[in-house]
Amino acid sequence: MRTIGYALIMVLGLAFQTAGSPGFVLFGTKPELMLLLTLLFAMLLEPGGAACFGFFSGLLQDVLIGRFIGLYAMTYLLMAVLAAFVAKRFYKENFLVRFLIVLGGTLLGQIVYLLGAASFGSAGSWSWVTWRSILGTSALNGLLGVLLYRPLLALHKRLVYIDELLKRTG
Amino acid sequence: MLERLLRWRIPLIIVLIVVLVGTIHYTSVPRGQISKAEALWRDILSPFQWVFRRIEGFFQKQITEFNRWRSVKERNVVLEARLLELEAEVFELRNYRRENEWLREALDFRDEREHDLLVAEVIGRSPSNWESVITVNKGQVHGVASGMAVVTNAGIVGTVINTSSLTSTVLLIVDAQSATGGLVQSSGDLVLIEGGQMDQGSLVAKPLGRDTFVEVGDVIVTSGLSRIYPKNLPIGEVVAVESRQYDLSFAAIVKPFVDFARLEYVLIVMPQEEL
Repeated sequence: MRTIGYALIMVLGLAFQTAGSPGFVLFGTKPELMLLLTLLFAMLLEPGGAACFGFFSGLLQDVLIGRFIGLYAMTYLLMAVLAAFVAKRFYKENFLVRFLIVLGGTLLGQIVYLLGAASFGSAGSWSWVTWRSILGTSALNGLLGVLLYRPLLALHKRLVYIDELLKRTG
Repeated sequence: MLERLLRWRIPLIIVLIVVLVGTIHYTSVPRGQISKAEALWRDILSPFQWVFRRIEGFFQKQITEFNRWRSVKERNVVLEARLLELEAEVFELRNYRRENEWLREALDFRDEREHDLLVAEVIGRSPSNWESVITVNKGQVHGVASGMAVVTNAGIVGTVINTSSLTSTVLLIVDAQSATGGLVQSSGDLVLIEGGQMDQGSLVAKPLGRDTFVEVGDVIVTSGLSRIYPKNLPIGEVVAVESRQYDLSFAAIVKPFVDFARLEYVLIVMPQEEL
């Protein structure tokens, strides 16, 4: 049941991220919603579960884009594991810690993706505009992460509760 | 079962990394056709995208209506002035049209056939900031195929790069992988229009000839030399010209006529049937 719940969250997140108009844009950038969900769930799940969530959310995004299939999967997996380990060592209930984990994870995730894409022949320069986009997205994700953490925590608890209920009642 | 998997986790991780590196390498070059799994995933996701698009469209419409209502009086004054300008322009254009018709007849000009255009709604965009693609709600069942041109009445949008049954992915001309043949309307000089500008709102025109001359304000249109875009479709306007390679060459920054941030509907140029 939990797996279905997480899969539905991924599908809806990706559909929302890619729906029609650019939606929520700040300083010319839009949030990396799938990376944001990955990092937030990484704070809520064990490293193994976080890795699975990151891998599949990245893979779904990869398959939709159709270019460098597997690069987002590897990047998000790595970021999920890192975020899960960092969240274990710090007091994640502090909003500043959550903000920094999401900001740092988004920043590092984008850099890893761009480096990976460049190593496989993608054209692109590391100009100021690129950095502005990376930093803008990271800051936006950080802010959204602070706002979305509580609702996602409630959703996660509800999924765990339903899962436990189903197990006990058979 | 789980314990056995955990015991083999290191080899499994290595295999996974090798497989992923293989798929990244395989998909790093443009492909004519996507796999069935990719097509299926896009078809599954498209109804969700359509629903979110409708919801977002509703809210955007309300905001637009509110803003329009606020500025209706000022707009009215501006529009009246614009109407007078346009009436004068229409009068002038009618004269040109009559003159053009007369010249065509005089030169026995063979008119080009009109292209069949298929209207498609934009239902999806790239999930990240690093690709400039859109998804439209017309696919193989509607006759769309890879390589078809996509335009709006403002200018060219991009090329269909792959299709599923119900959707198509369009590579926008502002993407790093896009290159289009262009023509400077005033001089007729050929240029190559490339995307990949990181602000994703502009293009670069590079000269194809040594004597190519471009200046700010020049309009760039499609050259028609490739088989993708019909001739003379507007691309954009030159907003800056920068010297390159010790003043031996230049690159012109072109602002596209199409507003890629607000694309809602596009037209897919269907191939002409051979006579």
